[in-house]
Amino acid sequence: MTRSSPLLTLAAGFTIWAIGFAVIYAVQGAGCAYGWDRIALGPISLLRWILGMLATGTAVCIYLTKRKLSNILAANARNEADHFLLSIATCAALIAIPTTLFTFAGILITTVCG
Amino acid sequence: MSTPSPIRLHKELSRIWDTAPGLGRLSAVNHTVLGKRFIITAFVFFTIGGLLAMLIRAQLATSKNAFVGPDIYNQIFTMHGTIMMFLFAIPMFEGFAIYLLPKMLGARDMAFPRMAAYCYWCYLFGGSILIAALLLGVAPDGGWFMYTPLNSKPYSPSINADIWLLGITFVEISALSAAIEIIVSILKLRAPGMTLNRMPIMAWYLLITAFMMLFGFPPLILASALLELERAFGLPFFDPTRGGDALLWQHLFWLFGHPEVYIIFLPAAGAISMMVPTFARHELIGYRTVILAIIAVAFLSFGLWVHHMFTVGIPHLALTFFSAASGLVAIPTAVQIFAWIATIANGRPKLDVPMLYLFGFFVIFIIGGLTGVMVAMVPFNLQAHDTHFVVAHLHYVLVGGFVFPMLAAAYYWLPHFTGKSSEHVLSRPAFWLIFVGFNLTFFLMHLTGLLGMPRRVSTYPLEAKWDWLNLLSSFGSFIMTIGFALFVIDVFLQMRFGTRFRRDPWTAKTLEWATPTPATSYAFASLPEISDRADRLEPAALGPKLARGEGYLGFTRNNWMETLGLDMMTARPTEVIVLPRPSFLPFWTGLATGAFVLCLLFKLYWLSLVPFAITIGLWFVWTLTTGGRTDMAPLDIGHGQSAPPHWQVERPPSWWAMLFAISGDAVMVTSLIFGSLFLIVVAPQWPPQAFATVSPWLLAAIVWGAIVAALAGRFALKQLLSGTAPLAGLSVAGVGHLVTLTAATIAISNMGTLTAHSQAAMLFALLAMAALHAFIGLLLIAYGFLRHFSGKLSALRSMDLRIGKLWHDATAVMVLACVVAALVLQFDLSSARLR
Repeated sequence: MTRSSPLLTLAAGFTIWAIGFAVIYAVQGAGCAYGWDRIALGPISLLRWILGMLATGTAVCIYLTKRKLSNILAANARNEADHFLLSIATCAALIAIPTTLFTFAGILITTVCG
Repeated sequence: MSTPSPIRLHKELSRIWDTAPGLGRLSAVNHTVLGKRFIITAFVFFTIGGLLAMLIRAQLATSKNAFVGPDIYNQIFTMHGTIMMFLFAIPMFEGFAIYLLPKMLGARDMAFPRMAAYCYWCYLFGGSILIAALLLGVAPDGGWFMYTPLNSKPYSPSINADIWLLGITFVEISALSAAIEIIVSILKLRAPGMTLNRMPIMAWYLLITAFMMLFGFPPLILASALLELERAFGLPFFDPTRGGDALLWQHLFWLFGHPEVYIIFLPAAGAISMMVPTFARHELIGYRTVILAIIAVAFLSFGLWVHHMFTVGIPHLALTFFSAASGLVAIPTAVQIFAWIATIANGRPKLDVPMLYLFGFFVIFIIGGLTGVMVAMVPFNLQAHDTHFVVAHLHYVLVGGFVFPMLAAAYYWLPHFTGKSSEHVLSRPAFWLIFVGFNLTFFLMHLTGLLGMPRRVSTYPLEAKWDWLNLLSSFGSFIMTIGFALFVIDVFLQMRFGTRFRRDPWTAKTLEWATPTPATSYAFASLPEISDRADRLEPAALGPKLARGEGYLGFTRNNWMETLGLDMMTARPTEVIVLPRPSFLPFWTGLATGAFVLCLLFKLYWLSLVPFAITIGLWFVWTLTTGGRTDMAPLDIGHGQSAPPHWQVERPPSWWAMLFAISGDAVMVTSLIFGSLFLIVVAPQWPPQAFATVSPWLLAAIVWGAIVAALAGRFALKQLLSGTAPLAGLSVAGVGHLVTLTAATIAISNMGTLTAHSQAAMLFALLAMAALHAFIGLLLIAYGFLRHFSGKLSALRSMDLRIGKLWHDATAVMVLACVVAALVLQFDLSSARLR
């Protein structure tokens, strides 16, 4: 890690959430505009598949980040300040996971383009 | 170096740091002076905004009221919102931050004092343009969020909307600069030993708020520029009949607008987190959890902008994303509230006046938060949208979340400003008048809203039966105004007749109370070493030691204004930061920038080049006094330690400032690309009948030039570090930027009409963005030459080229992104749509 990277890790979990949010909202808009919701792929539409996978991917990425941060925290936190920041970063990543699941739960429930 | 006697040290520091009297006050760059100026000016604007609110309530007091006509009423409510959001709330927080931050962090000033002064002048001149327009009867009148098409040329043909777009952009650029200064100051200018985990909690709040400003304001600045281009030159970004979309404005505006609510609330929450422990006589419970909550609020606040647009016809699924995020943000907000309550519950609270105002905050803000959860729910929102319920909600949040904490903060830190302790005779009646008046005014608006009263109507029929509620509401607003008048009188009396004290009248535990009060221009005669959390200190004992020069830099040298720069993580001193002396340059530069804005306002585009050139010329003049002409040995900083001057280190504050400026710039470019893609996908009249195109060779030249500039910028730095003059690298980098600039200009001039369709307009915007980056790159190349020929570059003094390298690298990436988006814009993607 570089000298300032523990500071950057504070934002890691929620940055992934924010990127996922922007991508999912953009794909949803584009998918509706280009009619991907009318392409059936099994029981659900192509667009719902894509959105579901993107949401899952976002949650998995945050989980992997959280795990990485936990490992760094356990092994490498060199001083009090690093430990402090990494512990907050780990918690932030942890709470970004249910945030992701809750924010995108609508993919399972509501109409995609209605 | 030897430490002089405390009195002699004070005199020497005062001589160096004080601002000259008389006209010399215009040269002030000191954070204590500027912080006070921001606060006082913001309060003046608050008073004007408050008077406008009185006019609104007078108009709405009864049905069919003819107190002011609809045209004037439109200006009044637009200006009320604009003033309160842009000219009061943000600058007030900036003022508190600029005044308090160095003192809380154990520094002598902010990182860029002249920039802070320039921010102030931009704010004052920008705000004055708006107030002058109000007095002349040509104030903005299309609502403070300036929706299109209402504020487009066909429906707002006069200058009103232009005044908002240019005046507010002027003020926003000032706020953006202040955000960068706050970030760098917190990260680099702390007392030695004050690691991030030891910072006072308010520094965390301000740090995260400043980052939110950095990422939240660029979309608004971009949107304002696009709308002004549409109004001035007919480029149809928001015109649905020519391939634009009015919703693009709403997206860009609220992408700024909703984080803005938290940008206003979080600094106030920081102040609360400082005051509650003092009056609870217990340190803040959940310091770490509160930081976590601030981070969560900051991110979530960027994921709920569409809840202002629930009624525009967005698909249900998208609504669920934003509704969920809107509901979620209540959780980390509540975590902070519970932390404050737990702190009070675990301490031995004393109900002094600031706590009384915090009691008002708790009641009002929690009501506002609960109605916020209500309007976050789509079905309720559809019913309450654009009614007085929303007016009530937003005032409960903003007045509860900002004004009450700021009133508490005013009473809390007033002794610091004045050096006089408070006699709270009028403070309590003032509180009760404001508290009762506020609730009478705004609680009833929930009811008028639920009864169907729309916001922004200048009158309503008798048959609606809203008279008695509105009359009571207006009555309440006058009570509230009397309360504010009493507050002003109270503050004046305390400043005039308060009794003097030595230090720390509240027995607070934070560093700002270790300075002399009223604060000296240099804040600390010597800088403290922090070995515990900075909210566990004993300022009354620490202050005299620092005044005796027992800390770092307890002496003067070369008439320099010095403070220490730290390693961000370890908080070890890494550099002596030599700050610029008082200067009239920020004032003149602010005036020149104001003249540039006025030229744009009156459509004097060719003439505007004169103040534009003067502004840039003055910025170059700023740099003449910075840096050194010889390599220096590390300087003594006291305690047997030494550190080099800041221009001899790898990453001085200005390097970080450039990095953060580039981050904000990246948000601007991303917003523009988002706008392009949004129009392709969503705009009703897309694709155009005829596509505007740009030669692929020209696009290649634009990218090639930017990449060459980046590589040559790196080479120039390498030359300098190896002891060679960097002239070859700088020259080639200049040529690279010139190629980009020229190719983009040719491409734009070859495009033909830009007004027929938004596709051509967006293509122009992307190419202009690339050209702008190359132009700034050229300025930095010119700066590199200037520094070289003035003897300020060496292998050890490479700061200026490092900063340039950052920009050249970023330009390559931004230009490439713009060109890729420009390529996408030229393809007809409509065939991919399923019919």
